[in-house]
Amino acid sequence: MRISIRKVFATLLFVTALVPLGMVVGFFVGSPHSVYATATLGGLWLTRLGWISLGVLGLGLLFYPPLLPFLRMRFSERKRRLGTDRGPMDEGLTRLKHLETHADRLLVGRSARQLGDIPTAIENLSRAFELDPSHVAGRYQLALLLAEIGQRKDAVSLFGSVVQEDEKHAFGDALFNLGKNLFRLHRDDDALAVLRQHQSVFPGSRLVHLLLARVLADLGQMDEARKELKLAARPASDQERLSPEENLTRARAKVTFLKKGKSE
Amino acid sequence: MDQLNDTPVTYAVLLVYLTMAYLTGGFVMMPETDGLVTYGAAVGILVHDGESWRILSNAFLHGGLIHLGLNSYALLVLGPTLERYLRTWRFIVLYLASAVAGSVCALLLTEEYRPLIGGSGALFGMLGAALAINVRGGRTLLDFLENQGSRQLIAIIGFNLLIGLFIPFVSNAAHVGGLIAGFVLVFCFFDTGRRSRIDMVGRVIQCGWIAVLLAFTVYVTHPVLSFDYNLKHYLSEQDPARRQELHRYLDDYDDLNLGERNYCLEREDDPKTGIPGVGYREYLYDNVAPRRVILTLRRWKNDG
Repeated sequence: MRISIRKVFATLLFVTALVPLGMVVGFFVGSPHSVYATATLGGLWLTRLGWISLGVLGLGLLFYPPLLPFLRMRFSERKRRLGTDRGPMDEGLTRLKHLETHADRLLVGRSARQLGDIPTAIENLSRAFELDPSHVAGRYQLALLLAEIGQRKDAVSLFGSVVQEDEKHAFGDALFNLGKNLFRLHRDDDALAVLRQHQSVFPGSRLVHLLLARVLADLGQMDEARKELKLAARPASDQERLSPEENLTRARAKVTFLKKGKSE
Repeated sequence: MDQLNDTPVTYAVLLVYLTMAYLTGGFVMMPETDGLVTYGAAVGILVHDGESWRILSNAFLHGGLIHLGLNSYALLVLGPTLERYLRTWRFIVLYLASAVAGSVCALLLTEEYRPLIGGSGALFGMLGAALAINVRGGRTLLDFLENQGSRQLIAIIGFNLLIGLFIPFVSNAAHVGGLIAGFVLVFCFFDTGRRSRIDMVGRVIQCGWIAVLLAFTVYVTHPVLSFDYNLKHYLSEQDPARRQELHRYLDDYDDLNLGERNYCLEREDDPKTGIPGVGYREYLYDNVAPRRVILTLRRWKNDG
């Protein structure tokens, strides 16, 4: 179930309004002493909650060291969603009420996926695929969505068809996503071939290095896996600014390297 | 003359500022505090003694020439543009709602005996409104950060809040309250962006904001956690059971420092800030204290 931030915010507003009103009503209808005692207890628990949150953060860092890069990535995802223009989607939805076109289905589906509105994205991207199954961008968007909702087999076949037709690698992520989903489906040999192909076209990506390390480790090629892990954990150069995804990947690789990277 | 016709509310507010300054003797560097209190300064104990109109009236009073000059200048810079953009009635609502929100916020966080004056809550409301217009103007919520004008606006707001932190007699709480009210009013009520209609959740959020403002306004007029408010009820209470209940509350009030409170009330200088409060405290003693505060405090102290 997806939680709507706007609904949570609306609820919080009413809860905030209920606190002072409840105290005033409690004073006149109930007992002033209880109001005072409840308010004191509430304040005490709010302070405790602050300390507990700090403690949870500390424990989180202890058990999952890449917590801060992970939080940075979540924050960046939220920022990206806030920075995604809803206008084209709303306009597309209005046009679709009068005339259904493949272009509008694709536009609405893609925007909905970027905004995190999965039901709208599923409805529109699958309809776009029905209207024009040969459209490469439509297949790519649908494959991304299927991978996101966990239908990996379908996602793999769609990513595969995109990669076959995409000779100039306009959809660069298609190769990476194909490799990632093959790995998740435990087809390690296929994943290795695809990721190596990705590496030859777009060298240096930490995400690919880490994924390759995992694939190689699964295949028992530990020395190769360690090399890839080391490359994934390499620090950023002076000119390089790591994206939140790369930063998180680097942190994860570093932790994995410290735990399992030493030679037996 | 054209500008006067275009933006009548701004000039009307300015006229009220000047009139009130004349009435309170505000055309000097430091006007008498009792004059300000007589004409509507918001003092916590007076507000919860039934004079709730002070929550609004204080937004038209100023403490001396510098205060009046700065706020009038800010009003003349921000007011006309915003009034043209929002039109007359919306601008009136913006000024009044920001003023109320600023006062409520300040009353929540300021000592009950300190008088609050100034239109800066409402002026910060205008800054918040200008920021909301910028946010709504972009293609996405964060687009406004690309605009240098918006960044400068944020810097102006930040700088003014920072100044408020270092000057003890400036109420930053009022600034923050007004700023939030102005922003919310434009962002959630007046300018819905490129959406033609507000959806159900949007309507609920609007009701939620109204509920928050009303609830806290009710609270500052009935501050049930305040020692003085409870003391007033204790002394006027006839029902023995409820009187006992209030007595329990007053006994348990752990923030109470009767010595300091009496000192605050009876001496002319505030022990915390060192600010002299000559006329104000005399006024309290002459007008408010007989009604409730000082005598009841003394009685409470003597009764044990």
